[in-house]
Amino acid sequence: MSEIKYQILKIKVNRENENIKFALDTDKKYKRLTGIFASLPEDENNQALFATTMELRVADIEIFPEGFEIKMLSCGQQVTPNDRFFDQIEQEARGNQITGRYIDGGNANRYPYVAKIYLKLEEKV
Amino acid sequence: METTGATKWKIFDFVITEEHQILPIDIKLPKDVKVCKGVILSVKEYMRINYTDNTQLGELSLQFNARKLHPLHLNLHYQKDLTNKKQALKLDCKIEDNQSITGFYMDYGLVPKLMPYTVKLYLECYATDAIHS
Repeated sequence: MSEIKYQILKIKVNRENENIKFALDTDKKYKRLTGIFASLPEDENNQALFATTMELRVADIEIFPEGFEIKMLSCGQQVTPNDRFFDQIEQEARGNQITGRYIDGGNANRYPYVAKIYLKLEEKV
Repeated sequence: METTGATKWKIFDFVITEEHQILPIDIKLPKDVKVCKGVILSVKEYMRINYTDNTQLGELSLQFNARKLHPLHLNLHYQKDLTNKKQALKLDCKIEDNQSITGFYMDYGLVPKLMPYTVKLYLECYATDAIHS
């Protein structure tokens, strides 16, 4: 039985500079949230990453404040999968709600696109 | 009194509008911030100009605790290639009570036609919160 789960949050961005509120319950069968990775469409020069920000709270505790750039949570395919995750995070999962706001930076080559946020959950109950 | 601690990110934006601009920095951190664990510098905008990657745009100097500590004097590079993993540069500076972080950002004048850009300074902090008294 796996002790780690990668839960996905998909955010559809329809137009430039769109401001999107989101909420998601973490899987209640896992105790800890230990990593986050953001995957955006790999367009030319990864332009969609520029100026795009994501504010994030877990159980109403601030993790990333307003203005936190999504590029801090992303990297390319040349980075080995286990190293891609932003791992300076340690929060209780167990069904706690993740809330946030995704603000597109207006630089993507095409719209709409889907931003995928992967949550690394550990310790199955 | 029992306390808990956690990582908190503090982000400060500085908009550069003139060539060779020198922008003074004076940041007052909240009382609960005890340590600045690390720092990340970033340029917000996607610059639609023919830069090679890693072009130097300017430099940042930071001083802590009434200028008693001067742990950082760092070049800011414009990175078009975002495929590497981003990590904070470690500092581990203890923040004394009621002290500011001061310093400056100086533009090198290399951005053509005075294209304004935003320097984002990320401070990875350790903060404590009193929970019982």
